[in-house]
Amino acid sequence: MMKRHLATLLAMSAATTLLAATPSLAETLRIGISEDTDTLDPTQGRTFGGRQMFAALCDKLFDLDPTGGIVGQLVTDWTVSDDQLEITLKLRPGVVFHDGTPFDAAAVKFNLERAMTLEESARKGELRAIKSVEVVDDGTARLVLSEPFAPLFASLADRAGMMMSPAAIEAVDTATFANAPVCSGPYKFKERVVQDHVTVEKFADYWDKDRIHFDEVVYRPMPDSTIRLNNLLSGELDIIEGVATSDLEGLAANDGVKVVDITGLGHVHIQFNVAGDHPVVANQKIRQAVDAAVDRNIVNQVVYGGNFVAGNQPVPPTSPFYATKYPVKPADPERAKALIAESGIESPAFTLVVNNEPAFIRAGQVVQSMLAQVGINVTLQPVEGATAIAIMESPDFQAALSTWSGRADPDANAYTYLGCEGSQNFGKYCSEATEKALQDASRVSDVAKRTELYTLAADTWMQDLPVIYLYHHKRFFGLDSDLDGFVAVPDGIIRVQGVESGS
Amino acid sequence: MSARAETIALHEGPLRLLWRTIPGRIGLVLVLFFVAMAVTAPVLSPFDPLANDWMAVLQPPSRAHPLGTDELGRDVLSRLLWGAQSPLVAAFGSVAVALAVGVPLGMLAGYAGGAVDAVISRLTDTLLAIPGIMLAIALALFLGGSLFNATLAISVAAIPAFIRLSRARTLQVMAEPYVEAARSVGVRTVRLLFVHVFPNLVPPIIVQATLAMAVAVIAEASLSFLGLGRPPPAPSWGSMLTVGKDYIANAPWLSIWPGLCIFLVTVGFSLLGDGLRQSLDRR
Repeated sequence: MMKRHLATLLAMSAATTLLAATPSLAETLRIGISEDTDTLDPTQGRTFGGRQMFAALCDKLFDLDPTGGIVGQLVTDWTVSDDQLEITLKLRPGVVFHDGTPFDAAAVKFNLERAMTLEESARKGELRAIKSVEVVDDGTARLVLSEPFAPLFASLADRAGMMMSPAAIEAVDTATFANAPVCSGPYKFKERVVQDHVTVEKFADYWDKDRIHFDEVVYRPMPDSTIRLNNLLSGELDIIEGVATSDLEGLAANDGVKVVDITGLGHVHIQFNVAGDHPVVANQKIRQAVDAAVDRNIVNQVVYGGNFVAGNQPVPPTSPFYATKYPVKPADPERAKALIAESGIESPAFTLVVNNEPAFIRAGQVVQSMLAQVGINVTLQPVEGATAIAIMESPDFQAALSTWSGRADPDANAYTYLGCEGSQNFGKYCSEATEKALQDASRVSDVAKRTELYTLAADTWMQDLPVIYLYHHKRFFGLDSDLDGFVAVPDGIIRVQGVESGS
Repeated sequence: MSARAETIALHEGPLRLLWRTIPGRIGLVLVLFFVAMAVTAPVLSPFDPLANDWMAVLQPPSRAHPLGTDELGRDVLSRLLWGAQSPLVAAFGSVAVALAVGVPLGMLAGYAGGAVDAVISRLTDTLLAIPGIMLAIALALFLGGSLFNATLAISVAAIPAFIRLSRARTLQVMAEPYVEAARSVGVRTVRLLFVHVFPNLVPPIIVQATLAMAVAVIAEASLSFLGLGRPPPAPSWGSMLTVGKDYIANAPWLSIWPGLCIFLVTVGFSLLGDGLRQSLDRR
């Protein structure tokens, strides 16, 4: 009798030990991001925070590789017709949405048409070249373009290319879907507490599930870079984006944390409400004066320890698409004062909205100080991300110091702000000459030719200066040293595929 | 000690009263020191608190900059001196408003009783149910960041205490025999309140006022720390701490001085209140 009990006891002990030895099944990856999302519907989203969360929730037709090149994600192969007006996409088989419905060409058609026609869609500019979407068969879709459009792939590698379940979209109204999206990514939506966290849980039927090693991912928006960093150092977070340049020195010595960096695609700029009711910012000479007064190198040095790249165009000076005709000029306060005299405005003053993050507030103060020295009085208005967008959409908008995370294709960096239908063109700038040059540049594939056209566009918009580009950022990610498999991509989005706990 | 005795004590003169006790002495010196700092800042400040020196960012204390420079090359000493204005304006301003609104309301509640008292008391209870600093933050968020709005927000949070205090004291004084006597003789309400009731409210209210000032200093610093006070680049001790915390490892002087000042001003007001209370109690 004792023997039997002993055997059971031994078996139970062995089983318990085995269970303890296997890695915990409830592993959560906690990611600290710089801002909350505005919405969870990729079609409507306008925040970088949203794009971070979509990386786990929604797969896209295409994706970016670490060099910024286009690769397929839900598309396995594609061909472009000779006249560049037709793109045929071979879709990945065996992909299902989070609600179990299949991903097929009909779904591609549904999603792209929704992005182009939904009233609240912020993707219309990005997809403006698509005339129609055809279903060739379940696994093949064809995009018919109204004109050749080189930037389309880059757009389909972001929110415009994210595939959501048509069944789920049709089952509820737009607002409800935006709070609980049904997508096709490695994780499905679990819960959201606004301004606190978004939790997503593993989707069992994901097509690439072998590369998904965590059961849950929690996104926690923390606008303050110091707080994000402290959370990483204390073990509350596993990955953070946006490590402040002022913290880099201290982290180099820390064994528990590693920093990965990559040059980003985006820029920081000042945008003006050129078409609104505010005579100061609507005055071209004043804007030119602002451009002449700001010393970009000092901003870079003082605020970022020289870690960023000074710029004056939508793409960095190192980009092949940079218009070398207009290099970054040093500040010229005398010229700024002369321009103010020419403007006809006695004591120019305007309100500058800045994101309520330490680095932005510092940069805002540097700009404010430089403008004060030439006689422009700037009032800073620090607000958080979504509020900033709300202000920029209202008639109160005067100027904003803001950032664009950047896209792989220069068109998305340029047209978004300088094009008449640009989704981030809150100042409603619309110049025929600029519009034509930008549109022409998007229809051409040859880099040299495109650069010529971007230079042509600059001939006009660099006089108008609806946007003053200041610098381009490097992206610094902080990770727990135990994490393996993280690969930085220039768009700054944290991709969860392949990330796993090393120990 | 009776209300009347306290009032007699006051006739000695406020400064005398404060000087009597040790806490009062220390508190008075501290508060006067920082008030002087705030008032003379424009004269004593070696640099313009907004002037940037891009070449001298985050410098440790030196001959040119006795307290060092901040992240935008501004002189910390100058910003410290000018920064005294925000918390002191908030302290005096918010308490002034709270007195002007709270005391009359409290007296009214205590005197009138009945429905008037009920309404005022319930309003007070509602405000008191919300933690003071949270109320101030919510109001400041709603009104927008500025010193005026911060002061207003803090005063709203401070009003209930004054209403409660005035009301209780009024009720106490109304029960005194000499008040009853005055009433029976036919003294009019207004005269009654001003001449007989109000003077007896002054001692406890002054004590409460100094304590409210201490709270207001912390509240203004907290609001500035959160970015809800005077917007950048205006110097205030609280917003200096917001920046200082990011550089605690490599530039601790950015945090030490404003933090020390906030601490000393708060202690000054608290000790002042303690001293007043002690000397009023002594008789």
